[in-house]
Amino acid sequence: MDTQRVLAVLRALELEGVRYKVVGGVAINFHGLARATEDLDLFVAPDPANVARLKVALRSIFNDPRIDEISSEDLSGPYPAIQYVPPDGTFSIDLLARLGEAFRYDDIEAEERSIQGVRVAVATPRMLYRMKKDTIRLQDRADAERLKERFNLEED
Amino acid sequence: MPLRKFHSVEEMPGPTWHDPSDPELWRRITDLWAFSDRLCCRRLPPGVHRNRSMEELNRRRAAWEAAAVRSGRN
Repeated sequence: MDTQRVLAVLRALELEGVRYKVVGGVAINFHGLARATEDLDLFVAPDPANVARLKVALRSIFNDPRIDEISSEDLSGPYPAIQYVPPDGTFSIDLLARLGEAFRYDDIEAEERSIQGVRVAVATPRMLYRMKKDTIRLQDRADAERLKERFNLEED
Repeated sequence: MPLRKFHSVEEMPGPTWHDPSDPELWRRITDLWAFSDRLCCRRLPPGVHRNRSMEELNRRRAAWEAAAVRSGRN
């Protein structure tokens, strides 16, 4: 993934006033651990107005008509996890409205960070730990262990 | 960088955390992601892909990675 493209997406989200929170590997990077990742994972508020702003932001970067296929009805209904892959296919933007019954947008504890001059909402280390510790993917569990050690996190 | 040898993975140093305000962090992220792109030049199917759960999303992602390996692009 290219850092400048990720920054461009985050800048566009800020400009359009999108309600989002960065989670996943990119959030781990922003908290201080440089590690490879191929997806930009974003929790987004799935209400129609916010999804409309999200689509405007993405269109300003990618000018891809397929972005119009992203819908509030899907995100708040049967498809709470949508992957958007830009035309060049180099990375994926994963848009999440909820994870099972455990996590919804409003449940995600986040803090504001300035990343290269862009204001970014990033899930807290404790939140990331809670999201990752019980998952099946080895990468997520490794992240959870590293977060726990670095930030002296306790089990809930 | 000098060559360093270890008897086991456990002996190897752990990941290096940076203070988020450290300018070195952004340089490291940029370099690492660029290096990763050069190693793994996969291409994902463009468009919008809907998933009913995170598990379904992860399965789709794994299928893309497997297809990239089969095609020799990984």
